[in-house]
Amino acid sequence: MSHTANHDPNREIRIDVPLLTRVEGEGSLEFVARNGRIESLQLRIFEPPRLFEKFLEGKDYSEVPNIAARVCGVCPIAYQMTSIRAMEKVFGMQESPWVHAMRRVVYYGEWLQSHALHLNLFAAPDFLGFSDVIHMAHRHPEDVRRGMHLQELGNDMLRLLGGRSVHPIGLRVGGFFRAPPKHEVADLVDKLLAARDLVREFVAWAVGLPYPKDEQEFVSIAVRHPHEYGINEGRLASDRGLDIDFSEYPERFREHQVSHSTAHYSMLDGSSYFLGPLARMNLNFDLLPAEVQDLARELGLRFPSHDMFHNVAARALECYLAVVDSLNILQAYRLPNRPWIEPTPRAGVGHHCTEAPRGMIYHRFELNESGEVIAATMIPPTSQNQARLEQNLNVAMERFGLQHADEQLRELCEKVIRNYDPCLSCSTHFLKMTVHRE
Amino acid sequence: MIAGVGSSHGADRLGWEVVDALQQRPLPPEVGLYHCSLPVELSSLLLLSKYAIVVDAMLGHGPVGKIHVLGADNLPQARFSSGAHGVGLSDAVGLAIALGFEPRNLSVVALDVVQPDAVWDPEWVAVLTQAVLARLTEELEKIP
Repeated sequence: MSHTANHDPNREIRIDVPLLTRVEGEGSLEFVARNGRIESLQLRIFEPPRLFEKFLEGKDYSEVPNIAARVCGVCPIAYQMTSIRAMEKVFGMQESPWVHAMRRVVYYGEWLQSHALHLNLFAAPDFLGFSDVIHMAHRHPEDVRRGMHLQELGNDMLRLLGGRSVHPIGLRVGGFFRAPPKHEVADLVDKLLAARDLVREFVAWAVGLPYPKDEQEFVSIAVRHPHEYGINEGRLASDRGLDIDFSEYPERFREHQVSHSTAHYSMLDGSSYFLGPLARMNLNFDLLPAEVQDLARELGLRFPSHDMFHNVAARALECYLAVVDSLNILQAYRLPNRPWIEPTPRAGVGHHCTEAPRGMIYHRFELNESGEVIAATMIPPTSQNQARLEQNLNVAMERFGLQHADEQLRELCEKVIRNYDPCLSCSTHFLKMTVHRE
Repeated sequence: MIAGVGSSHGADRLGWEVVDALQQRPLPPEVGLYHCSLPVELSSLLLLSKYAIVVDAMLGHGPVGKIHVLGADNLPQARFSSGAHGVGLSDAVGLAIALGFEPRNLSVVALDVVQPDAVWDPEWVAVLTQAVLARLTEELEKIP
């Protein structure tokens, strides 16, 4: 990004983006500045209600995972896993060690495919000065191939346990419908071993991308587990002392509506907070396998960090984690007697949080004595991050300076928004804007 | 390789349905059949394939049910089912070509559904399957 600054910073600037294209969901950006001050910077999400929570009412618990998977094509495991664990809590079920381990593997698969997709296809062209990945591929074909290979490896992990990579069908309340035979696991182990060096290269490449520096104050929140990098199990923690059971989420986190967005804003004790790979690294770096920590140090990374663009490095480092920890699990693979525990339905309420690729996701399920859904709540990371994202945009734009051209201001907005990997901004050049100078 | 592109929603599932139908047909063993959802999956598949037929629903100018057979050089931008993350079929093909896929080795066989919320017609699957098989036969006949 050029830093040419030859415009009057006190001019009236109105950047009106009526429709954010190439996004999952619909949204827009409105930016207004006068007399050198930002008056308004709003990310408007006006996608219609998806109604999934309502669709689930009356459904049997066994139907929920496949319906939940349809909420998102990129992170179906997050929705399946969180709903399954919430309902297992209603039924008083504990995960078997085998199920716990395999759930980590399938979630790692989702992280790897989602993170590689984001870094390779959507974020990197921003930082390297290309309009899109196709143009980038002409100059950096091996880099693009490597990212695609890792994405496909993530899909292989999803297929092993989910049956297919898109909207997987292998997960159920109590565990999995099928335990992969040893030869399938061995094939995946071979692929993971072959990718170990490749993913280290990928991390080094991502860490070396020329992304901006953007130090900000924010509260990191993530799932923290006492013995492993938090994904599926643990408690909700923050770097400001929060340490609560998932069931306490509704008491501490409150959603509210704002006039410019149909997505709810979410606040912790009245303030915004930050979710995602950087938040996870900030809270759980000490729980990474030693070789992942070592790689981070070799590359000069230090966590906790409050540089927003270290989200790029954190995301890449989690790709290495996905490969390393999946190998640790799958190289010790044993066939279980049965890959699931049979649930015994009962009435009650269950809460659970897991870590979707782009941050913590919360589900609450209320079931009747037959295991039918009375009420469901699903709060995705994108809406939880929305308030923080707007604050991030404001601070980043003020620091960058309004003396820059509108196009440069728009470019910075895109980088900041895309850095969250939200479902509403994860492609290149999603902003088609109209600039009005008054 | 034959890849059905789409999703499970409405007319967008046409590509998947055709691949399901082809799985019931006797095809040469070297012909792999795939379902694709995220278009970037297609890029990876193309890079692993010598020749590819991509099957999709098309949002064209009609009439409904018209079969289009297109090549890499005349894929209309954003006229197919819109892809997740804003990446469409033409982007996926463009990425594969940039990474070395030979564009003349691609055929896209699509059925025009005109509107994304078109009322699903089971006959579309039969018609599009026949069109794909015809295209496959043409290509196989070129092989010495």
